[in-house]
Amino acid sequence: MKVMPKQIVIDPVTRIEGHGRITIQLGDDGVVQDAHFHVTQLRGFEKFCEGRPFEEMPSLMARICGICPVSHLIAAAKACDALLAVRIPPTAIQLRRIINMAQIVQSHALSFFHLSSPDLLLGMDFDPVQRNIFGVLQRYPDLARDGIRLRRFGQQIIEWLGGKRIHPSWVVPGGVNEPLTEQRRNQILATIPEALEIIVRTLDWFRTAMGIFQEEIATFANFPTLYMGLVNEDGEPDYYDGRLRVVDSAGNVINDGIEAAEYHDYIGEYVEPHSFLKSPFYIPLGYPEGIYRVGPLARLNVADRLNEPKAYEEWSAFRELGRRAVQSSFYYHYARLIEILFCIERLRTRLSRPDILNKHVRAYAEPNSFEGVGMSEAPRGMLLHHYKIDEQGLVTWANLIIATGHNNLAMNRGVLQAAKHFVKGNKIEEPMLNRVEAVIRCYDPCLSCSTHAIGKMPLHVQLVSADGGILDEIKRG
Amino acid sequence: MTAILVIGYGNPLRGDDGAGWEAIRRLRVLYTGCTPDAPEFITCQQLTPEIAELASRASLLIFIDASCAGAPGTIKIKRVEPAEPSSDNPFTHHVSPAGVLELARLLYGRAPAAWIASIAAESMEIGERLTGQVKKRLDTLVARVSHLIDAHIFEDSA
Repeated sequence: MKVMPKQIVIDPVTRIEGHGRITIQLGDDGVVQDAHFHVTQLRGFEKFCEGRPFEEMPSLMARICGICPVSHLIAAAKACDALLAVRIPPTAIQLRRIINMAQIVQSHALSFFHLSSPDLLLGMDFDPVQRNIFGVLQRYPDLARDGIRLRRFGQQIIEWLGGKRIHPSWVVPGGVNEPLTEQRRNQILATIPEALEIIVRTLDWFRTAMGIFQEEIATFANFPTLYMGLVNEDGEPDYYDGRLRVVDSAGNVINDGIEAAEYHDYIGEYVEPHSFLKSPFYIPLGYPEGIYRVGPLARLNVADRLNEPKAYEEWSAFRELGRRAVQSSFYYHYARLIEILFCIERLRTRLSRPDILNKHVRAYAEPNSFEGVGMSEAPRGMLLHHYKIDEQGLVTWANLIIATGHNNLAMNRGVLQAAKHFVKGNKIEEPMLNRVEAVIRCYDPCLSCSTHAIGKMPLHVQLVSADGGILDEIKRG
Repeated sequence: MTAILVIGYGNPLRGDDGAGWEAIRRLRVLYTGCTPDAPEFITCQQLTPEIAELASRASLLIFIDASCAGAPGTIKIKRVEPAEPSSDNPFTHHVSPAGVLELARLLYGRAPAAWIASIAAESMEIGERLTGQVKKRLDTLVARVSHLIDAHIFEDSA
């Protein structure tokens, strides 16, 4: 007898950036057979930038995202630096590093406090009507205030440096367009102590809170994969530059020192029919065995050390969570907090150096190369911009591999693992579906960037048999 | 304490959606040199939870926005009170005027008196220009907002 499949659809996935859908395939016995995370939107940036002057690319590419425009600005500017084939002034590099770290802080704060804290503070089983940021601020106003202050800290630095919080145009090919003034430097430094207090307080709470999420830790994409991230010469995570390192699930470095221009020798892009989001994989291991993860969890897994005192202490505790690499994607939340701490400490270090006020912050040149690749770390992971131009400096081809894409395979496999553990039988329970969604939230995927999906969007789930019969149905919102 | 806070919001790259930004530009000119009672003027693409802290320190808050309702150029000024987001629209990183006030009340203990001044848009297509009716009526909007500000300053000093 043929087994008739059944399907659960979670559409849309909530508290993520953009539009996605999850489908869960059940067998006749109600046991989960397969699951997929589908990205259902198409942006097309790679196509419509063709024909534009290359100097426009940073501004155009920043429009990819309303949350992490600085990351696209930086990767685009670095690709343009490569087209100019110039060495940009050291102070400009430091300033770019500062604005990128400020963005990582604000984006991570958004992910942790606004999008994920409802699950973490109120619980996965909490009434879905109240399980949103509003429910959090009613019950935990101190933590909500901390989240707002921390995000504002990062946004304020971006605004002070870039002129505005969203889509600043301060980072340009060849450097940045204005040096940092002493007054601004001092303003930023003055905000650091409070930001540090907040993140230390949050980490103290979260370390304890993790104890009640053991089942989620065990089942939220807790499997071996590769990890990929940029590191500097000292083995620290490098959010702006550095070389690409790949480690395996045992924590062994299997590739190190990959240059931006070599990425296509190591990263392939597979297209699955169920999603507009490509599935990158590590070419030497093939598809899908070359599954890897990027972002906070990966960066802390590939690093040898963090040379900032409080962050080092916290990172050491994090590394104790796994005998080798830390595998559970639930720990993305923890890694995000550690990265906030590291970035704040590092901002203080960088801003305290006198050469940060140097006036020479931009190099000028005409294009000297027809092809350029920019690689940097965005909040969600490694970001690649690759452009080709013609003799007039017009873009003829562009390829972007964004952080969320790198994690696509791992997100799909993670959804399957959580669905197999939590989804049972022909009766749909909201908390079990929330857990399947929460796996995706661990990665903080940014699907649309400019379309903002929010707290508790309407959720309509149907359990449908192959002949179209509705076995069960729930709605919320 | 910021006595008066005026926030113009919308997307200045989407035609009339930038009306709030243009209104703020004109108001800044109008209140140049007005001290010590000068309002604080802010522009942003969308209202975010971070604004709640600033709002809590204001005694008067005026939101200026483009609206999709009504004939192009129609101006509406109405009071806005703190309110939770509706169940199908809870905020994360953007929030309604009523939500800003509710956040201010819940997190910082007070919400200011607040108004929303809106002007009905004709087009929100891509572009940096306001359309005819909105452009024509914007001075009226600015005058009415200015009246609210001046009345508040007068009330405070009386």
